[in-house]
Amino acid sequence: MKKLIPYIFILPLILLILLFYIIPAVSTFYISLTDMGRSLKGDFVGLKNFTRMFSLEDPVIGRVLLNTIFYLAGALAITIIGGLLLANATASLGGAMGAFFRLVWFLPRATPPVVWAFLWIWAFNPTQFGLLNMILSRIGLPGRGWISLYPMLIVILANGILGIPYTMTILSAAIGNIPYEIIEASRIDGASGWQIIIKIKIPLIWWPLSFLTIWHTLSFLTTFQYIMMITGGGPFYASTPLALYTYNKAFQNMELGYGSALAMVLIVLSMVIILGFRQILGLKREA
Amino acid sequence: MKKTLILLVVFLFTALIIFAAGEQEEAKKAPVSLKAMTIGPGPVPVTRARNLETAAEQLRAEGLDLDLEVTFSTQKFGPYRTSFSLAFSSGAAADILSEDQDIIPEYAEEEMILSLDSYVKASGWQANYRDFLPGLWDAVTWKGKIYGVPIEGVVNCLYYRKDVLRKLGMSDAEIERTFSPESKDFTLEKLVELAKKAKDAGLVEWGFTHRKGAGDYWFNTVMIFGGEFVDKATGNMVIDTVALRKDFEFHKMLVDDGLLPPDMGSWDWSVIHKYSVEGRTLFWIGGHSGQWKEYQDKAYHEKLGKLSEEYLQDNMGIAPFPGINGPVTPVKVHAYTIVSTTKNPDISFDLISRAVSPERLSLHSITTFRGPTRKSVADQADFKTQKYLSKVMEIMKYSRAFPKHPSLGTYKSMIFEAMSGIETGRLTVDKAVEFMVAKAKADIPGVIIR
Repeated sequence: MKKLIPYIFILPLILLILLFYIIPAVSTFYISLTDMGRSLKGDFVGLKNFTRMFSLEDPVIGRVLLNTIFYLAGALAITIIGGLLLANATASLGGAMGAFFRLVWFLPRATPPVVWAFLWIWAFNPTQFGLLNMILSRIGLPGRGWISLYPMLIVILANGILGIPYTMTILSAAIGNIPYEIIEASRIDGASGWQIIIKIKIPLIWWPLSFLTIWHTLSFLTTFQYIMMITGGGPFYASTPLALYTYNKAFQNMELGYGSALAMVLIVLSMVIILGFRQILGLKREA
Repeated sequence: MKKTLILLVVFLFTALIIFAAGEQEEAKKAPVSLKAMTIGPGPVPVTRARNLETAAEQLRAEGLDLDLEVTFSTQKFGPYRTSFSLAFSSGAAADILSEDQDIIPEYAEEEMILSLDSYVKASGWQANYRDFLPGLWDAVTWKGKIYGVPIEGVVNCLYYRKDVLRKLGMSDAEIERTFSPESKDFTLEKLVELAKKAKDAGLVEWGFTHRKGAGDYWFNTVMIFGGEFVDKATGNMVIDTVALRKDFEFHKMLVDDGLLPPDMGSWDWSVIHKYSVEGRTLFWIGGHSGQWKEYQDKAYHEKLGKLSEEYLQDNMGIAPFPGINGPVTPVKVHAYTIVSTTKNPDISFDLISRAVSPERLSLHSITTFRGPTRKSVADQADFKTQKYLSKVMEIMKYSRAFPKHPSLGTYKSMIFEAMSGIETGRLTVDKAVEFMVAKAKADIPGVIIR
């Protein structure tokens, strides 16, 4: 009986994982082998949906995968580096001032998604009524069609900046826990501010930093609502990552079979990235 | 003992008869329950739901114990259709569904809606059948069977600014003549010429504006260039590369000449309508007749706010599109359909039939400013007073029904992406045509390339 107790405690969690991850994943895999459409009925078509994808019969899929890599790399870099620098800055400020700036930087996260997206749409509106174009107009410069010219950059910025507050909050707590003596000792030894960050702080906050990297990677891979609202994934698929393309195929065009095959690729990609990060970031705990 | 047994048998038998009779009586009295799902999107076409409710009141007044539950969705079609699919697969779908014509083939193929031939073509309904405008039945027909009863035609049309044209020196009579579909001047070339003049004179910022996103506008322009969408013999989707090329070249020319913004795909809807109502653009080519109503209900105009009927009549006009084979008014029909799982198809049709009476359709048309589907609506006293709606009916003479095919949504997304690529300079016309062919082959089963 005593041996069973840990399993009893872990059972609710296993049930939740089964209900909200394993069963949907298995169902998605099953649907990916069918030609299911709007009626939610589908005939078995084997691996046809996957061959359509991997043989590049779908002329957009290569572009979509490239977009996914660019988007992920860009947004992740902004979120992690931005969050780390802000955490370091606010932790260095300390006290009420540090808390105030953390609060200010937390505002984007507290903003409702529609409002956040609208702010970006307004800022980069290509007509004279867009914020940036208004500013340009005031200084005598012509406006630009920002969203159609730089769609990927804009969605990277909108999503990357939104990730900063969470990263900053976790990392500023982690930096705050570094014993003061260590920082002080390194200063006495002549380390510069930059060296302290690179050689002292980052190694000491490696675990939360790694967790945030993996967490944000999965988040950027699977979320697309801001992209949908700001650029719609366009123009001509220029800002469509895999998650948005999957959604469009499955729920806009109601190609549930093909959409599920794309979703399976997304699931496998996420797992590969997690395992890859475990290796790269050295996250294997010593026994 | 024997007596008691006989008495007991007689008692039980009597009780059984009384019970059975009571049940039969109850069955007679049981109300008919119907559910209907209707959609805007948006709040304007709420008469799609209300007309069903008033038709139900009429049936109740005639003695039918009818319990009708109507839902009106202001959502977009995507979530509305997903809700219906989920309800259908779980056996909880409504009996009546209001839908756009483009989804009818898909629902018909999946046997999710009933063919209404036996009702619509019945001898008792012939007068009604003939009263609907020609071509509209075609919009709700798939593989020779009728699946819906048209409620309205969303009339896609060209909006032009009379005030700008006056500033160009045109008299009202000249404007009327130029935009008369029968006029020899009513051509695409003439529109481009006027747009250039207005832009060069600094009267407008743009000559043309169209909609954002994947919408029906993208069918309009293919129709303008005489394109086909569906092969009549096989029912398969067609990629008409000749019409597509002309369509792409037309839009590219407009962008290159500075008459159309290259980034319209990223414009906000409120800005698009602002340009239209403030006369910042000469031609608004992405709209439909119902926007006349929208401009009176929403304050898109920065100074004037909501526009009055008088302002609109004085400063704006509508016309069909000048197609290469004559004027084209693309019409998308919205219809009542009956869901295949209903237990009461006869009563459902009776209800629909009353909801599309000329009086109710007139009310719907006046509420929404969308095209009426029956000729006799024009004879309704309240409709006769509507100057704008009479104009809508006039341009409906050039109606061409929107295409119908299960892969239409896929086609619409493809053509929008290709066009956004051309307008933003990411694609050449050749590459866009190549993309359309390759993507259609990958995404649309049995597609025919012409």
